[in-house]
Amino acid sequence: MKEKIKGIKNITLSAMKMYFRDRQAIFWSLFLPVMIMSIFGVMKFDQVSKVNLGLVDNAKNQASESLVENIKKVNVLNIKEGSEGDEKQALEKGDRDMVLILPKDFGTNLTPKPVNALEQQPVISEIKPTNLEIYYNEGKQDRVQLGTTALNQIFDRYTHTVTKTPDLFILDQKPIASRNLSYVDFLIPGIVAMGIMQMSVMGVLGAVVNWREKGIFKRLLATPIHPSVIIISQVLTRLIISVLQVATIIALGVVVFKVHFIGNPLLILLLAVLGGILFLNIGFALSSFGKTHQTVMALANIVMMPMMFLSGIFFPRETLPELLGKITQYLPLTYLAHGMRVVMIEGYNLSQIRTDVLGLLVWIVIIFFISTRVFRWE
Amino acid sequence: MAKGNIIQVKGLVKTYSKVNVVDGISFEVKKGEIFGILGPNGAGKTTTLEMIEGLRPIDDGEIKVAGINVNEDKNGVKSVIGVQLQASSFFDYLSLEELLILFGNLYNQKIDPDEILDEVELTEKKKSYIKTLSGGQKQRFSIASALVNKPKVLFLDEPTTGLDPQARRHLWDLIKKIREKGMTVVITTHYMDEAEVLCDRVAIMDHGYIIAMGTPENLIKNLLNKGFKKPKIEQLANLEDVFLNLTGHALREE
Repeated sequence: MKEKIKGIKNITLSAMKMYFRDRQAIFWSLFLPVMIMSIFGVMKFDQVSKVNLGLVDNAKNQASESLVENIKKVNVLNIKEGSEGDEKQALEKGDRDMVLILPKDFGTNLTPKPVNALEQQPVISEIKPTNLEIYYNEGKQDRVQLGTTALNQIFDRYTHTVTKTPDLFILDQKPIASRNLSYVDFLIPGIVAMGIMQMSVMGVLGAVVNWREKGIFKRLLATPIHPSVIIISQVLTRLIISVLQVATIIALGVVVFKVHFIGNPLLILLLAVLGGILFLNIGFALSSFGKTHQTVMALANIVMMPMMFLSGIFFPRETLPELLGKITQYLPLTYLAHGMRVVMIEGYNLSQIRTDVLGLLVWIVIIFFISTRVFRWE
Repeated sequence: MAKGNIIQVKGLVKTYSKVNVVDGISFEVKKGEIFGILGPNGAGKTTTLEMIEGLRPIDDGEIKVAGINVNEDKNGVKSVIGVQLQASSFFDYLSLEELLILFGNLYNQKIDPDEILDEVELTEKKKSYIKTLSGGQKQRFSIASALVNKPKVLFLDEPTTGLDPQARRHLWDLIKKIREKGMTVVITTHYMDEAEVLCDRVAIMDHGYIIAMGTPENLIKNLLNKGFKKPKIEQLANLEDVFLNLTGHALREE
């Protein structure tokens, strides 16, 4: 027993050394998830829900410019300014949701000549409303409605200011610091889960096939060490690397992408280890269904690809069709990604993620049963 | 076990898909000798060797190595033998020195990598990775890895296949040197010149049987006694002599 532990320690240390010298392995296990995270992290998914408003200012006077300034302050609007022709064309192409046109005579009715010193204020009934044309994309009713509401609000406020009529209601806005979860918050736990899957499956597949092809397994088995020592040290090595990978991705997420991380690190470690063991088992099992490097790698992709898109890594699983969603809730990666997500950004505790932990454990038992039956040294 | 015999094989059988690739062979290897198992490809040499090494289950028969029964105690046998496998490689990204230390650990032994590397003349390569070695150097390292546990028997499976004449001769010298230190060597080969130069005794295998066994001299004498004559009179030198005379005996490592 003591010798076994010593053997595990020695092979694991050597394997770690080998891993850190193998730049390609580091690239695939660390830089790839980081790269995916960076690409998705800088993509402005929030922008997509904004209303693209084209502004055509044909008046270019003080009144129109101050209106434009006010419109620009509205958050839900993504404003582009241009000539009438260009903007209408953009609308037809679908690049704009709405185009607002301020006519040449905009604002002239707002500054009537004072009748006398006592009556500087324009008489409300004397003001004729200016017609502002809005062209909109019929196919984007939701956004058009949102945009129209926002614009109406601005015009109301503007009208009040000009006509000096008092506000009947004032919204007393009191800011409360709340957690504004962004897409990156959603994404990073998913990337962590995906990284564990890829690292474990690919890592163990690569090592097993390489060692088998090169006769390294056989050479090791020609020494008095127990075969389980080789397997255990391989599992241990990959788990350590997985945990390092998880830590790197989370650290990067917090530092660079300002992820709202409130999870318990121990729970994340637990999930990482369970997920690691599960996907390592899948790797060992897969390694026996093909002979060459190419065939097993293709197999691995067949297994991993659907999970990447059906387990809620990049997009919420709520977007899946109902039946597909029901089936894919039992996928190994679904449990891992969900567990990671609720722990990391919702701060769930162990009993709140028991379904995920249980799901992972059940899968581990099933796959372990399969992999011990199909595993081949040669 | 007869005195002086370090390996005893009795009625050894290995069956793959109903074919006996090793069909009831028996032989002994004396302590301190270089014993060759000769035969064409597919004769069952490697299978025989791997059963003795405890790497393959024995379907029938009995093997004893240094008094240990392989059928009962595979690990016991593995710890007293050294194995150089046919076409086996080693981990990338570990230096020769680190590999030897790792292998020492597998035998639970602290070793001096410098001493072993010196023995196989790879001292200057101790910080290199396997992939930077030439074919001959790789085979020498493979033998080095088999020496870490100071084995009683060293098994070499076709150690010179694919090497150039210089590297082959260099490896022969190394094997002889190892034997001089008192180690028993069992070697498989399909090069007869190699067997003639190296082996004290050989067993010739074909189709899973041993069809002849003895010292090379006796086997040749037996053949001549049967009235065998070479169709062409042997010249005093052959093409390999010409080649070595022209290119020298010095090792070529790329």
